[in-house]
Amino acid sequence: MCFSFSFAIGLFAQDRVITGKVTSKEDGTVLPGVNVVLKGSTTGTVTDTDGSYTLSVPTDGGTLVFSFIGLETQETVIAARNVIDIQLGSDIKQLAEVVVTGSGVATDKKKLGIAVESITSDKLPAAPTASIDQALVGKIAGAQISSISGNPGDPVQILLRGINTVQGGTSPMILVDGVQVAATDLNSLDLSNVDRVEVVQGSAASSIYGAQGAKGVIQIFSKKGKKGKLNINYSTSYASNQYINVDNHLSKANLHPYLTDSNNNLVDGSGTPLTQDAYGNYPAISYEYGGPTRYAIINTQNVADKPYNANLKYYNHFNQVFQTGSTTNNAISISGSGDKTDFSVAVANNRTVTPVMKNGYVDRTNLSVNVGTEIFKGFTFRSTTQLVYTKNTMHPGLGAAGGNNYGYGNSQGNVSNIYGFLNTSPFFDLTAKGSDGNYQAHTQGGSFLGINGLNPYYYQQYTDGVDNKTDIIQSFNANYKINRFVELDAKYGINYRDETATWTYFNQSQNVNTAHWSTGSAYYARYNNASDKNGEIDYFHYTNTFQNFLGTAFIYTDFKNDFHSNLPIETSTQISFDYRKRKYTEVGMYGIDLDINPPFNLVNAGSLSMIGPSSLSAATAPLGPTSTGSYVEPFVTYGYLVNQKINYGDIGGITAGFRSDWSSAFGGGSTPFTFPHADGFISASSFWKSSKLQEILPYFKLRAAYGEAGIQPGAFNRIPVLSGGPIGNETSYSIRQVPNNPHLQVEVSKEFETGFDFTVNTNTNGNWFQSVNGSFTYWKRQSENVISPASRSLSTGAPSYLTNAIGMEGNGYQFSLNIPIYRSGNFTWDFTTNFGHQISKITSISGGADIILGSAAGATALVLTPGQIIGQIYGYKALRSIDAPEIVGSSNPASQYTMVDGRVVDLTTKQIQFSAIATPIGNPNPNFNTSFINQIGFKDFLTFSFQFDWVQGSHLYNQTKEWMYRDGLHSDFAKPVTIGGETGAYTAYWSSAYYNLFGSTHGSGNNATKDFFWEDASFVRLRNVSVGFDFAKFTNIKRLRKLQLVFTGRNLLTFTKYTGADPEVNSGQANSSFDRGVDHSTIPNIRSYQVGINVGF
Amino acid sequence: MKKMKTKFIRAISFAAFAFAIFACKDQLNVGNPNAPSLTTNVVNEKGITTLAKGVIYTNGFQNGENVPAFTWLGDSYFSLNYGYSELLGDVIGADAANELISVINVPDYVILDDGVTKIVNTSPNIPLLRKYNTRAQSGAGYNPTYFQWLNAYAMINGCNVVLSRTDEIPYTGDKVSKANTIKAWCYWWKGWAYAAVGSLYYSGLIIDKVDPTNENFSEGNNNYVTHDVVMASSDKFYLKADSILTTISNSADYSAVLGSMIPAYFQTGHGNPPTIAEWKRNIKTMLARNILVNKLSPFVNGNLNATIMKSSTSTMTNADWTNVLNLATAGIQSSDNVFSGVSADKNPVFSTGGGTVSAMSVGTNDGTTFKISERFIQNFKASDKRLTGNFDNSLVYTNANFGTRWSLNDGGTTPPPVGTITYGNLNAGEYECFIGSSYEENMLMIAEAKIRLASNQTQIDDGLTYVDAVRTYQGAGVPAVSGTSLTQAQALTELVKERRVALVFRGLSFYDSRRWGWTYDIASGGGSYGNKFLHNDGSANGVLNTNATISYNFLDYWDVPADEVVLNPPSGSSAAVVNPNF
Repeated sequence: MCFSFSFAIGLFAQDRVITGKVTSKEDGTVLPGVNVVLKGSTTGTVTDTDGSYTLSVPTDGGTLVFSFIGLETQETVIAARNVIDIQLGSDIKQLAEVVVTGSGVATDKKKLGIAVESITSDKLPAAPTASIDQALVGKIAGAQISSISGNPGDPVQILLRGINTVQGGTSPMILVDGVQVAATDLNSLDLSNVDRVEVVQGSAASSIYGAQGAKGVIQIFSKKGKKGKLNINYSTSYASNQYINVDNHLSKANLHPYLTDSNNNLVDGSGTPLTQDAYGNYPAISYEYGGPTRYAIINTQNVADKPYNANLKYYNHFNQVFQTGSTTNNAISISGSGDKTDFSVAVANNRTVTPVMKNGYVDRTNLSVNVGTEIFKGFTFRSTTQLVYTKNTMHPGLGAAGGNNYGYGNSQGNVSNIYGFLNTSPFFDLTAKGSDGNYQAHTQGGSFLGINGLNPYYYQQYTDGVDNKTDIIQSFNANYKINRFVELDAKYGINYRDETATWTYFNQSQNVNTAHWSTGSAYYARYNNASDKNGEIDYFHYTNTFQNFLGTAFIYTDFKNDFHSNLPIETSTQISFDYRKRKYTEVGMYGIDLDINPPFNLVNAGSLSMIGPSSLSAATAPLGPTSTGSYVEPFVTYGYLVNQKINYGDIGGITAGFRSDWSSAFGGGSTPFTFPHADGFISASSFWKSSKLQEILPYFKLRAAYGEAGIQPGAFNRIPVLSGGPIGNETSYSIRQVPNNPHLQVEVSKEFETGFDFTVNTNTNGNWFQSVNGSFTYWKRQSENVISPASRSLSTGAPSYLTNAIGMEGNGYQFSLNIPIYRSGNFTWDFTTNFGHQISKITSISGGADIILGSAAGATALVLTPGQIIGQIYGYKALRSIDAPEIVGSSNPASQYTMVDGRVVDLTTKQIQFSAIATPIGNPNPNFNTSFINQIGFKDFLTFSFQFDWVQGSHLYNQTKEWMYRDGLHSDFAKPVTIGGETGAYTAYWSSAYYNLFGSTHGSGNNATKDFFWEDASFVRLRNVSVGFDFAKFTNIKRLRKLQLVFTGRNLLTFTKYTGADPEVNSGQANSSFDRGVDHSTIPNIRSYQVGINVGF
Repeated sequence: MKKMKTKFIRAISFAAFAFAIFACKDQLNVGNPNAPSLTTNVVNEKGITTLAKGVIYTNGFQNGENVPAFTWLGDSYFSLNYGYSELLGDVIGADAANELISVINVPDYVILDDGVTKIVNTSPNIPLLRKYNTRAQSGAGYNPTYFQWLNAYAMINGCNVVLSRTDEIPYTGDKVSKANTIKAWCYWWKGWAYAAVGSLYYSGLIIDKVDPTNENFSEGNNNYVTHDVVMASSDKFYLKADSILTTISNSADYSAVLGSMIPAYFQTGHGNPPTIAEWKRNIKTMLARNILVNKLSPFVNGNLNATIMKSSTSTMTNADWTNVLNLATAGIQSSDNVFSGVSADKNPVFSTGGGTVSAMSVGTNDGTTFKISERFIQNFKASDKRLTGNFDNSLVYTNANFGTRWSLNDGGTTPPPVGTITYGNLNAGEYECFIGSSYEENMLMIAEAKIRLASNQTQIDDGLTYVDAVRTYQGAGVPAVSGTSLTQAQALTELVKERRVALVFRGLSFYDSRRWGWTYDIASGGGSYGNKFLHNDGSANGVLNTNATISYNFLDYWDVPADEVVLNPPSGSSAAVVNPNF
C-alpha cells in the first residue's frame, strides 16, 4: 500500500539546502513518499526510497510540514538547522484505513456499512508466547478472547459476538492473506511476521463467507517488503514465567485435625507416632475424633488447628510442582523492495519451558517468505509461505500434546496429572523417593486421605512425551488489473500439517509403591490402554490438509469518469468462486507390556493394537472423529458469491449480495444453501462539511447491516452408520447411540448490526484530549437449526439422535474509543478502550425436552432449556434463610440452625444446609469485558505501554476446590468459623460443602454441584506492561536504525474475588459453546517478566 | 508482453475453470470411510452375524457406545447393573459416590446387638431413587434407574434390527438353519432383555417392530405394561427361541453361525457355544428363574411363612414351585455350555480391572471400589474353602454403613486351594462372568423348590442334596447337610446361605433378598435378622455386632427412568410408571 505523489517544485529563490530522513515512529522503518513542504509555499518534495529528502529553503528558514496519508502531519520550525530528521506516527484521527475482511473489495473504513475491527502489528504486545492469539487478548472490541490455560502451546478461547452453535465450538475462521488456514492453529503462526489483523465478528459482516462465516473471521496479513533500503531486524528476548496463584488462593491447609500426642506427633489410635510404611503411606493416621475413617471428617469435634511441626511436616506442593519456567524468543527478518518486486524473509524461534517441574518444552520455529512481483503492468503475482516446525517434549499428564482427536484442533495439552497432586495430602513430600530409589506414585493416608492423589514426579520419572509438528502454509495470489473496469484475482492456498505424538509410559512393575497400590485400582501411569503396570506406548499420527481456491472478478465503474455523469457514483461488483477441501487423518496405535530396559518403542512392546473407540475423548464425540485408530475425514465445500456495492461520493453507500454454498456435510448432499446480505452507510458528517460542526465533529458515520451465515454440520453427521468397534480381535457392528441424520441442515445465523463511527474534536489546539475517536456497534442475532444431539426415548434403541434441534438468540454491543490524551513535541500519550457485552440464549428445542450435556462442574449435568442462557449450570443452592422451605418442618428452627457467612448451618452437625433439589445456579458468561490500553512515548527513544483487562460478571465453578474438600486438603479447612458462638476450623463445617445435601449428611451430596463452589470470577488484570529504550538515538553507528531494550511484564497483577488460582481459566474444551465455566484442576496462566533487545538496520 | 499477458489470463481462467469442474457435486458424496452401515455391510452372512454380535455385546453390555455424556463406573453391564444388584443384596458396599453406589444400598435403619441403638439413614433408598430419577441426573450419571433400562432396550432394538434383516441375507449352506440360528439368538436375547426390564422395573414397554422410517431403530409406543406383562413377553421370546431351535436340522451350520456371534475369546470353559440341546436346557433354566425371582418366597428371620404386607408382586404358590421344579429339572446340566464371558485386555466386552463386580471387589479393601460385605461373609461356614481360599481379614475398613474386615484376594489365596472356585481374578480370561444362568443356579432352584414343596424329612434331604452338590461342584469342602435331620427352616437357611455365596456377583443378589422379603421394611413384615455389622463407633476398628437387625426398605420394583417417561409420556391406558406401592 504505497502511495506516491509528485508535484511541481516551486521556483522561488533558494538559499539553503535542508536534508533529513523520515522514519516511522512505531517501528523505525524509513518512510518513502512523504510530502515535505515549506509551509505557506508551494516549495516541496517527497522522500525517496530511503526516506531521505533534500529541499532548498530560504535563508530565513520557516516551517516544514511533513505529511502522509494515514500518518499524523508534523510541523517543525527549521531555525538554524540543516539536517532535520523526523519521525511520523500513525494518525488515528484520520481513520484512513483500508480493510478487506468482510467487504470483499478493499474498502476505506469510512465507506463500510459493517463493523470491522483492525489492529496493526505495532499495537500487538510482544507476548512471551510469541503467538497471535495471546497478543490479541483485549485488543478487539466485543470479542471475548480468553487465555484459559497456562499450559505452553494451549490455544486461547475466542468468542466473537455471542454463542450461536452447540456442537461446533466458537472458533472463528482464520484467514491469512485472504486464504483460509484450517489445518494450522492460530497459535502456531509467527507473531513477529504479522503486519495487521482484521476481525469481523458476526454474520452480518461475515456473510460473504457463507456457510463457514457465522462464527466470525480473523484475518491476518503478513509482512511484506517495504519500499526503501534493505531492512534487517533482529530481536531477542528472555522471559521468566511462573504460574499465577492470586493471593495464594490455591493452597493446602497447613493446620490439621488428626490425632496427635502431647508433642504434636501424629499418632495412631494407640498413641504410637506414625511412621511411613514401605509404600510411602501413613496407614494408621486417624482423626482426633471419629477414628481412622473417611467420614470422621464430619465429626463435629474435629478442628484443624494443629501445625505439622513434629513427626509429619508440611510440604508446599505448589512450590514443588509449579516452578519457574522460561521463554526465549529470537527473530530475524530481512525485507526490501525494488520497483517491481518486494520481498520479506523472516525466521523466528520461540522456546517455552513449562513451569510444571520443567518437564518439557515447546519449541517452535517459523520461516516466513513473502515475495511479490509485478510481472507486467497490472499483473502482480505474490507467493506467501510459512513453514512451522514445532517440537513439544512435555510428558503425558503434565502438559503433553497428543491423544485421541488431538490433531483435530482445539485441544489442550493433557494435564490430567495436575489433579493428582492437588489431591495429595500435604504431609507427603512429592520429591521423596521410596526405598527402591524411585518416586512414589500414590501416597495415601490410612484408608481415606488423598484417595485421588497421584504424584507428578512419578509421572515425570515414568513417562516420556514427544510431539513433532510441521506446518506448511503456502498461498499464491495472481492479480490482474486489466483496466480500470475489470480486475481478476486468483488465490490458491494449501495448508498442511503433519503431527506425530508419542507417549511412553515405562514399565513400572519394579516400583515398590506401584506394585502395592495398583492392586484393584490404577495408581500407576498409563494412558488408558494398559491394564497393568507394565507400561504402554501410544503413538498418534495426524495429518491435516486444507486447500482453498478463490477466484474473483471485480468490475468497477465510476459514473463521473466512465459515463460523464454528474453523479458521484462509484460501483464495484464482485463475483467469486470459492472452493475448500479438507482432509483429516488420524492413526492411533499402542503397544503394551514394555521391557524394563530400552529401547522403548512400538516394535519392542509386548503387543500392538490400534487405539480403539473406547478411549475416545469425551468432548468431541460424537461430532468429531468417532472411531480413532485409523480415521479419515474428507470435507468439501464450494460456493459462489455475488456482491454489489454502490457508493455515492463520500456521503453514503449500499452493498447487497448473496452467497450460495454446497457442502459434503449438508443433508441431501447436493442442495445448496444461500446466505443473503445487505449493508449501508451514511457519512453524516459529509452534510456539514463546511459548517462549524465540522470543526467539532469532523467525522460521523452511521451504518447498518443484515446478513446470514452458516456453520457446517460435522463432516459425517448426515451419514447413517453403524459403530464398528471391535470385540476382542474380531469386528463387530453395533447400533450408534447418537445416530446421524441424513436430513441435517446447515446451522444459520441471521444477524442485524448497526452502529456509528465518529471523531469529536475536543481540544484541537491544546495538548490534552485533542479528540475522541470511537466506534459503536449493536447487534442482534437469531440462530436457527443449531445442531445437537436431542434426546429420544430409550426404548426405541438410542438415547439421542442428531438433529437441527435448537434455536438461539443473542444480542450485544461493543465499542472502542481512542483518545490522544496528551500530545506535544516530546511526549505522547494515547489511550484506547475496548468494550463488549453479549448474551446468548436458547429459545427453542425441537420436541421441547431439555438437552442434557456433560459438565465437569460437580456431579450435575448441564441442561439446555428454552429461555435459559447457554452454559447455565445446575446445582444445589445453600439455604440462605432459616425460613427456607426445607427447614420449615423443623420443630424449632431457631434452636437447630444458625447463619454462618450467609448460609444456614445446622448447629448440631455444624453442616451447611443445601437445598434438596437442583436448580439453575448461574451462567458463566461475563456481563462485559473491557480493556484499557495506554501507549506513552517520550521523544523518540522511550516508549511505555500498559494494558488492563477487566472481565466483569464471569463465573467459574471451582471444581478444583470441591475435590480438595473431599479429604479436607484445601487451605479453607484451616480457617476458623464461628458457629453458634463457638469458633474453630471445624472440618464438619467445611467438608459439608462437599458431602452434604439436605437430608443426607454424606453420600448423595458427595461432589454434587453446589453454589458454594460457584464463584464470581470477575477480574481486572494488568495484562501487559512494557518499557522500551531505543539507544540508537544516542549512538552514531551507521545504519543502525534501532537498538531498543524492552522490559515487558505479562499478567503481573490480578485483582479478583475468585478463590482459585486464576479467574481466567476454564477446564472445558477450548472454544466449547457450552462447557465454559469450570475450573477443574486447570493450569493457571503464567506471569512473565521479559527482557528483550530489538535491533534494526 | 502482450502475449504474456494473454497467457496469464488464460492461466487464471483455466485454473478457475478447473477448480469449478473439480468441485463438482460428485465430490460432495464423501460417505464415511471409517464406519460400516446397514446398507453396505449387513448384506451378507458375515455382516449380519457381526451385527448380531455387536447389538448384544456392545449395545447390550457395554456402556452404550461409549457415549461420553454418561459417566459409568466400571465399564460394563456386569460392573454397574450387576453392581446395583449386588449392592442392594448387601454382598458388597461402596465408598465412592459415583452413580450413587455409596448410598443406594444404605438401609433405612440398623439396630445393633444391644437392641436399642438404632442407626438411622437420613437419605433412604426410596426417596433417594426418586429424587435422582431425572434426566439431568441421568446425564450426570447419578440416576441408577437409567442404566439397565438403557441396556435392555438397546439390546431389544438391536435384535429387532437384526430380525428385520435375517431373511434377506444370501446365506451359504443350509439357509433355513442359519437364519433360524440367528433368529433363535435374537429371541433368546430378547427374552433375556425383557426379563432384565420386568425383573427390575415396575412397568415396561413391549417394543418388537423396527421403525419403518428409520431402519436403525424400533418403532416406539407409549403403552406401558406392568412387570408381569413384561415378564410374559420374556417367557414368550424364550419359548420362541426354544421352538425355532427345534427346527434347526443342520448342526454344522448352526454351530458355525452361533460360534460367529459369540466373541471368540468368550468361547472357553462353560462359555463355548452350546449345542441345540444345551441351549434348550438353558432356556428352561431361564424360564424357571423368571418365575422364581419375580414372586415372593418370604423367609424372614427364619420364618418360612413370613408374609410381606406391602409388595409389588405376589407370593409363590405350590403350583409356581412345581413349575420351577419341572423347568429346572429339564434345565442346565453340569457339563452344559452356558452364556458366559471372560475378561480381556484388548477390546473387551468387560475389562479385567473394571468390567465386573468381581473385578471391582478384588484387592485390599482400602483400595477397591466395592468392599466385601460382612453380610456376605457371614453365610460361609468357617471351614468353607471358598472363604479361606478367597478372602483375608488382615485390614479393617471402617465406614458408617458397611465397615468390613474382609478383602477379596486376586486369584484366591497363595497358593489357591485346588478345585475351589475363585471369586476374583484380575488376569485376562480368568474370571468367568455368567450372563445367562449356570448349573449352580439351576441346582439351587431345584433345591429351593424341593425344600419348599417338602412334606417330610426325606424330601427335605432330597432338596439338600442339591445344595451339597453345588458345594461340591464349587469345591467348598464342607460336610454334606443332606441327611443331618435339618428342619425345613434349617434346610432353607442352608439353601439361602448357599445361594448367596454360590451365585454372588451374578446379578441375582437383589432379586434373592427381595423375594425372601429382606429388602422390605420391617414394618411391612420384611427385614434382615441376625446379621454381622461392623459398627463405626469412632474407634480404630469399629465394633463387630453379630446380631444386628436391618430394615433395608428398598424400592422393590423401580420406577421407569425419567429419560423414558419424559420423552415418551404414558398413554391413558398405560400401567403406572412410578411404583404405586411405595
